Amino acid sequence: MFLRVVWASLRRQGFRLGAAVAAMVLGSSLFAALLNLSFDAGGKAGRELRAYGANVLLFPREELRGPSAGLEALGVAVEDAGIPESSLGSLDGVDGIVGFAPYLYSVVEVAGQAVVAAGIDFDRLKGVSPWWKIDGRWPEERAEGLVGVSAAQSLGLASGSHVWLRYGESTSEADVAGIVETGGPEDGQLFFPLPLIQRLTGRQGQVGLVQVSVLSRTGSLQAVAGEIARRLPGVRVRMLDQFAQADEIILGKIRLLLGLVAGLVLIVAALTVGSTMFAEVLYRKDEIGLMKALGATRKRVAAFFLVEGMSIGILGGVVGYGAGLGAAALIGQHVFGAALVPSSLGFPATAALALGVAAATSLLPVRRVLAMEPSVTLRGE
Amino acid sequence: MAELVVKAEGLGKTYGSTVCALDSVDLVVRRGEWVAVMGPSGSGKTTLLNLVGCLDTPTSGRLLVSGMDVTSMGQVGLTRFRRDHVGLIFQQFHLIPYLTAVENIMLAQYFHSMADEVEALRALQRVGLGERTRHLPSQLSGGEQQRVCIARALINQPALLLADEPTGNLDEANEELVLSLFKELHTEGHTIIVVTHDPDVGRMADRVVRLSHGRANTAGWIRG
Repeated sequence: MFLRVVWASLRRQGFRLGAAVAAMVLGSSLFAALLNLSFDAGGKAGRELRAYGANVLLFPREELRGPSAGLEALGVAVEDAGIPESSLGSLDGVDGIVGFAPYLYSVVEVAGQAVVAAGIDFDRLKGVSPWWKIDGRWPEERAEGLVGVSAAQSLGLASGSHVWLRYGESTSEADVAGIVETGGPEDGQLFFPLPLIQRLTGRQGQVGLVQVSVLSRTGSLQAVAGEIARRLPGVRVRMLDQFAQADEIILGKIRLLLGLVAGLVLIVAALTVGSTMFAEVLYRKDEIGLMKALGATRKRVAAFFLVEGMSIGILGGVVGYGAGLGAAALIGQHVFGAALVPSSLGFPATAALALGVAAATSLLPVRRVLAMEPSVTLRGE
Repeated sequence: MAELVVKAEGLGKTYGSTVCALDSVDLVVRRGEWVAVMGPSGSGKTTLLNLVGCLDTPTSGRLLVSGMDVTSMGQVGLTRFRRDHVGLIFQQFHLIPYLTAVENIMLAQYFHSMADEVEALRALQRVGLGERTRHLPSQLSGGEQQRVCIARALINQPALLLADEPTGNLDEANEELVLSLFKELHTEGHTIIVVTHDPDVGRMADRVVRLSHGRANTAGWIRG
């Protein structure tokens, strides 16, 4: 009988029910959209931030010696020590690593001038430093490289130039595929395929530095650094704290903003549903008076309205969640250029909130009417 | 002598400190009696009915219904007592607008114990509405709605049937139908108290209690 009454009541409410459900759908959809955004936007924004360079550097554990030591301060590790290239494969399985690029720096002679030349894996470099501006093209052949814009000027090189590299008694030759401009120390350096520099310097299978790009989430950078240190005991892990902190501050602010807007939306939805339910309960106070006159306890009467309110909450929550997912996907596509991944918490959180808001906003007016005597409400007062 | 269903002694109801709706009324109703409460508007008829029906509480006096002192009961006790012992019939019918005739009756069963559709349908047949059981109140005439209200009041076999102006909103034909139902119920032994302005209704009752300014007339009783 209980459900029969609730169903009959919901069926006949028409416009008023529609208004309450619409308010709940609106509130839930915005809440669901913002919730999913706040969960996934962190990841998306983190990936965007990773386009600005690596935030973790790996060095050989051995101390650098001699004249090369000063280069470390510039983020350059030279030939005194090395990390086995074969050990880097274990980085691929670390959760949170977006990409990494091994470097082998060396001071070589080009056209009679000493310059810093780095051996790098260009494919991996593109993942870690996609912001490098190349005039020309990325190297594709085994003997092609890039030249920093300042180095190109001082050495008189351009795209398509042919260069001879000398290291002690060894020499190699390569073509210049493009001129790179980063605004950093790279502008004064030369970049060639890793095997070419390894062969030239006689350090086959060695790298001197690895730049790692880690997706920032609160506290995640520390954890990833720890995992790297565990997997590669022979390396020193250095986090670029400014980058890490900036990432986390930006992500924190995005989440806070989304959370505040979601909270505000929820308050507005609660007020709308509350006022609708309040009007509904006042409209039906005769009915409440009659139920009490027929011997219904306060709890039983309240249960009818509570379940009606919760039905509005469930309906509004489910429809609103679907609409919110759609909205989040649209926002994700337009802002981040990729669809958002729905959070597993999204549906239960939205449904629970919609239910809670509907129940709470239904109970408040019901409590007020329940306090009235049936003899009064039945008189129409 | 039949047992007492209602016994009121010095029953009074005051709203605030100034409005005295009922002033020291004594009333006795025996099982199977049909009592009409009459008087001008504002004389306290509905207040008396509300007190006897446990819809309201007196500010003075003592009231026993079915041998129980209801003046000492709290709200929960009064609700239970009303559910188990009193059947209410209203001038405005007060049917739930979105429930059918049979569902309105089943609701009273549900609050009392358990809804029983077969029994509810039988109650509607008894008041001549066997063909109108699935109609909403808005699809029924005033007389039909009042008959649904009577069936609802009877469904839990209350000791006392209270009706507040049951024919006040009905045309002559429907009034006749409803009154014949009351006569039938009276014949069957139901105890009925009816508040009415209508002298015809008063004449059908065993006795008439006249109220004026919240007080019952001199002796409290006048033979109908």
